[in-house]
Amino acid sequence: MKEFNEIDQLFKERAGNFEIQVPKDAWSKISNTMQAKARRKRYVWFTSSAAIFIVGVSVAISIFNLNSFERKQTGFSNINAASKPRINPVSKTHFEQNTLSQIDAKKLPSVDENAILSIKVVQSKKIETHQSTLKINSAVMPKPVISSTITAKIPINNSTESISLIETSDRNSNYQQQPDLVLDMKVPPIDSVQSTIQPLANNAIKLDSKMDPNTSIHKTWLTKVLTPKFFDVCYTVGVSYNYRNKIKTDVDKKVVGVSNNDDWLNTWSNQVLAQIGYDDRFRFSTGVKMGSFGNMSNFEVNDAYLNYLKVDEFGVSSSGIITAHRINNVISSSSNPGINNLAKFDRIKFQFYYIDIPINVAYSFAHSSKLSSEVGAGINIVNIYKNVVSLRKDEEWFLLGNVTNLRKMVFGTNLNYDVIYQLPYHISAVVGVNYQATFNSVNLDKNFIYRPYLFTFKAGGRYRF
Amino acid sequence: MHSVEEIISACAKGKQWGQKILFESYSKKMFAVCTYYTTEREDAEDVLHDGFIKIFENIHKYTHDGNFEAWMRRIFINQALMLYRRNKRIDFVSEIAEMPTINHEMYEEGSLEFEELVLLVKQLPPQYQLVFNLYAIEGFKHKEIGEMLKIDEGTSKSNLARARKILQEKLKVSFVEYERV
Repeated sequence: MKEFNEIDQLFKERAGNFEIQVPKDAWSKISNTMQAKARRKRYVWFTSSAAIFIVGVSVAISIFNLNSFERKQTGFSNINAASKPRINPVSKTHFEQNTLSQIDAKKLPSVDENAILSIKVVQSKKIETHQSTLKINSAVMPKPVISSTITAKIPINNSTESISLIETSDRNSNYQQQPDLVLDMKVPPIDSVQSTIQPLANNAIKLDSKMDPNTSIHKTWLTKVLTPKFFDVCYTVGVSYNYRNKIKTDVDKKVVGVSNNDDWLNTWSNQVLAQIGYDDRFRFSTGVKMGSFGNMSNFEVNDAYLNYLKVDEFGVSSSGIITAHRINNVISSSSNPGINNLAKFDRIKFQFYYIDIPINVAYSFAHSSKLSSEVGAGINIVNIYKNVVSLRKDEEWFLLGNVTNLRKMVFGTNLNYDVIYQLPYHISAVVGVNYQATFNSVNLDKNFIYRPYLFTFKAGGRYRF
Repeated sequence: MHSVEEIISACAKGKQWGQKILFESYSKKMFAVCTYYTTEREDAEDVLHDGFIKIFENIHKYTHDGNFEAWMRRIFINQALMLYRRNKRIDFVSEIAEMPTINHEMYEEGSLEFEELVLLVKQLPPQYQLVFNLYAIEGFKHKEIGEMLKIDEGTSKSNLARARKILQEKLKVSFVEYERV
């Protein structure tokens, strides 16, 4: 009789070199899985990169716009003749005689003589009205100025014309660097601006030599970034198409069901978003989105499939309460004989209900008189608060219950494209598409992966406060 | 001809040729490991599949400190134990359960002598198989087995003792023939 340790030793010696022929298709399955994982990895990278790129571009463009105090601007296509500015040509001689001679440029150590002409001009569009705003910030604005005339030369129709903007505000009592002058009016395309200051009260002109144009610009940028420009509330309702997930592959691999007729449920969603705009183009939004997704298929409803779903609770069917039990993966019900035999069921349907918190940034572009477009991207924090599994037999659906091996929280990313049409009373109509992908499986069992990919068509309205 | 280090390096970079060579080099041995720890051929194939996927995904973590084959072997064992836990097939009862049916198709090729030994072990209840394999073949200590299977150290010892006792009975005839050979 061999001793125990000899038995152990015998097994250890032989087991080390024991070999068994592997199935012929083993490598091809492994190779296919690795390639699928690589594709998924590339896909996640692409989606994430696209989202990050859009966010980055949005932020960069926004910052660029906020910093854009250059005078060379284009893009004003519609000039309203009625609002054509009053023409008041100013010659260089006139300028020198009336302005330069009265301003002591030497008191501006950081600004040379030409800087006196460098009146900062900013123009931008207002999305709602498409009325251009000509903003003039003078870094070398004389202090105090009781009243002054600022003249800008603007090329119109290949000839240089000038507009005169008369500032009448009294700065004696409460002088501030910003703003110097903001005028809302429609202006033509501006290639270059020359401007001068015509003081009305000669004796009152003094220069503030401490005023630095660059400092002024930075303060303006910070002020704009930290101060939201507008606040919107947007509501949309949509229909989602769950066009892809991975359930089929893994189900096939594990042979828990055979599906050749998946039918992704057309599901609903609606969302309320609060949007904060830091710029006419750049906005940040978050809110709540509610909806559902799911699928319906002719998986064979067998024990293994239910074992993966882990349906432990039973509910109410169309024919009454199901008091069913699950023993050894076989469902039986004394009150409802229809559910006793799983093999009788030909279809299975499961649907998930979720609350989604999207955190997005968006960038507005391609404006016309009323229409504008918007691209956005961000992340999604999705809470699945309810799920339902139903079985069908003889065209009758039996509510089987809830799947218990699910994540409560999944994370995803989204890309959006919206078209906005401006209506009266601060209201806009919104139509758009949304693409949303989840990063992790809804199902906890890693061999039964369910990752919804939702493509949503949505429509709704937006109100700007 | 590539060295093991070159193959590991290629796999770490995701090169398919490296993965294929690794699979061809170790798949038979690892499939044998999979069969030790599973009761059905389908389960063994699943463990083989998932184990190689895990190895390819984590091979960059291999530190070259120990034996690469032992590292792979440990992954397959863990994968098999995960399958058992997921299917809730482990039940460390004190009484011997009904003997499982032997699937002779599992061993179409390989060492006939060891095949007989394996078949003997396969007749043990699954929980005894696991403890016996981990202790006798892999050389784990009872404390480690307890941690791996999430059972008490004492349960591991008692399962091993019962497994040995059963094997002892079954080997009475077999070992006479074995020693004669």
